[in-house]
Amino acid sequence: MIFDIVVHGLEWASIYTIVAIGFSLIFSASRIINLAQGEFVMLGGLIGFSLYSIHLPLFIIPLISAGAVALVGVAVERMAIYPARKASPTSLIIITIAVSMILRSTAALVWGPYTFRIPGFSTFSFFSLPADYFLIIVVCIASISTIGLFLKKTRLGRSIRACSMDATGARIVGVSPERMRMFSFFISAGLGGMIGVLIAPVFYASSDIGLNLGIKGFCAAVLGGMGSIPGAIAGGIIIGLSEAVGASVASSYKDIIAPLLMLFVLYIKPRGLIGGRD
Amino acid sequence: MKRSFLFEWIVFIAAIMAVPFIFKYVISYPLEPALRAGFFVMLAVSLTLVVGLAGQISLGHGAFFGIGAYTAAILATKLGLPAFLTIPLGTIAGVITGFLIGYPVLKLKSYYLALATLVVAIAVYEFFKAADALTGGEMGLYNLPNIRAGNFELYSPFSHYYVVWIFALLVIFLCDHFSKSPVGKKLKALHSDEEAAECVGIDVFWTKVKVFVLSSTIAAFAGALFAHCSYGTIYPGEFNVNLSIKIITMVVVGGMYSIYGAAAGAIVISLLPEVIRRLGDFFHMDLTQITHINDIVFGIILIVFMIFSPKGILGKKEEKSASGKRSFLPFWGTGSS
Repeated sequence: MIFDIVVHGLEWASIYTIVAIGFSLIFSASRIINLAQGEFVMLGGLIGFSLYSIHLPLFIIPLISAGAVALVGVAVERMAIYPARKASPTSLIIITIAVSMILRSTAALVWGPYTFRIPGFSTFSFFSLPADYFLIIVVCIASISTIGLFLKKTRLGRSIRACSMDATGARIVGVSPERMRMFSFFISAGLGGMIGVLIAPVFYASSDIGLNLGIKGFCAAVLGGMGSIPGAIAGGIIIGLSEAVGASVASSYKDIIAPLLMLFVLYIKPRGLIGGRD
Repeated sequence: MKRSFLFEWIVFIAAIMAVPFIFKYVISYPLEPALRAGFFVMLAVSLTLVVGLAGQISLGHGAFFGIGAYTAAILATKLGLPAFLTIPLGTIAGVITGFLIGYPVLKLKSYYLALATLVVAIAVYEFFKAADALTGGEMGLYNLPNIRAGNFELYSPFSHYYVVWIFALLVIFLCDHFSKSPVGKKLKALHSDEEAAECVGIDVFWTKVKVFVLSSTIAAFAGALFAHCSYGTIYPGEFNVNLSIKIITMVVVGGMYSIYGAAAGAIVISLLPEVIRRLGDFFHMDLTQITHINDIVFGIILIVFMIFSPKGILGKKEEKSASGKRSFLPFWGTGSS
């Protein structure tokens, strides 16, 4: 029983953490809060389903989906963010909300109001839970480590971190914040797309999962501190586990936990528990 | 030299009064969209007080509409109270929650405020869905009574229309008056520059709280009225984040600094889905598809408007006299730079 809660909790924690990292990455590079992040996950799942239904091998689907959604992310940045680059942060938030509405409705038009399932990536079962659960957790840990290494060791990663510390200073040493913004959308969208495919066997793919995931992931990001990867991890774990516990105690109230936690943090410590940059 | 626009008011009121007859006898069109427009006018105008006048972003205005509606509905179904009691009580719920939410939230700056109000809207919506013993959960509440006064019972859209629009016109008038009152001037001052406003003795924080509570009260009133005018049922899906975004869209489209602009924006945006539906019918699309096209169009409109007023909602309000510019359309403020 406790094992179930812990596994489910870590499950959700992984998913929310990846979404939260998507938020934090974009915020890091450009101070933009991209409320359409959840829709990238949604698109990943749906594109993954379509690829599956044309019989592509399962192990290649996540990569192609991720790539496709990454391109969508760049398109979003070019068409909706770049023209408004001088606008106030609040206007940009509203713009990303509008983008999420557009993505969601377009997906609903293209794929219809149905819920799709991809069969699992493997048929094993550990302790009576499908292996896909553990696959998600493992892939998330791998992704987080990869991103951490990317940000620390590669030139592109360090450029993004430079922008997050001081955009003008970064410009002075030859880093283009505009380019970094575009890259951050590319990476975050790709990340979201990948996780969307992975969760499709377990949590299904449909055009309305983006909203819920986006909100929870966003709450996780704010909880831990926007712009901070460790913060995203902490936030994801806190919300994931709280929801798992909450679901077993009073299941209909589970979805209110994340927003309440986020409100709590906004009042007490707006920079987040681990203190992202502002 | 301000002229009184009395002629425009009379024409406008006459047009509003004539609409149900035109819809019924001339063009044979359902009245519901025009009825909804009345509610939206109240919502958009009250939000303009906070966003346009005071410059505080509230992305969660729909929550107060929901709070008013659910309070009235719960009082009606659980306690059996009649409409003329539930509506004032729902409005009072708006006052109380407006204060409880506004007090902490208005201490936050710029986009934290926007995010907090957004999350409040989400939390309130999730609460409506979750607390099924109280709120009927995802299915909502039903068997809501109509408004009764003695032997008269208001059950048709026709009668609802007049009640709603009379109040909508009152709300427009009240808010316009408010924006020209001393408090309104304080708000304009703190919108331009909070520190300067403090220096001349304006209590910035409490003034913000006051206007926030006023706007939440109006929204809750509209909600309570809505509960009794919407075919006897309400359900959480009507009060989700999309609603708050719609209201902001109306404020933005109407020119953010203008009460009348917000009213115009509300009318335009709430009738837009009808236009889209006619077009959709023409292309033989079904209803869900049309809803999605609706949302796409909304999103695009919102993005376009946000892009073309680059300082956005948080931009400093231009002094009309300094810029010397006055758009020739009386409903549109000089919001963009």
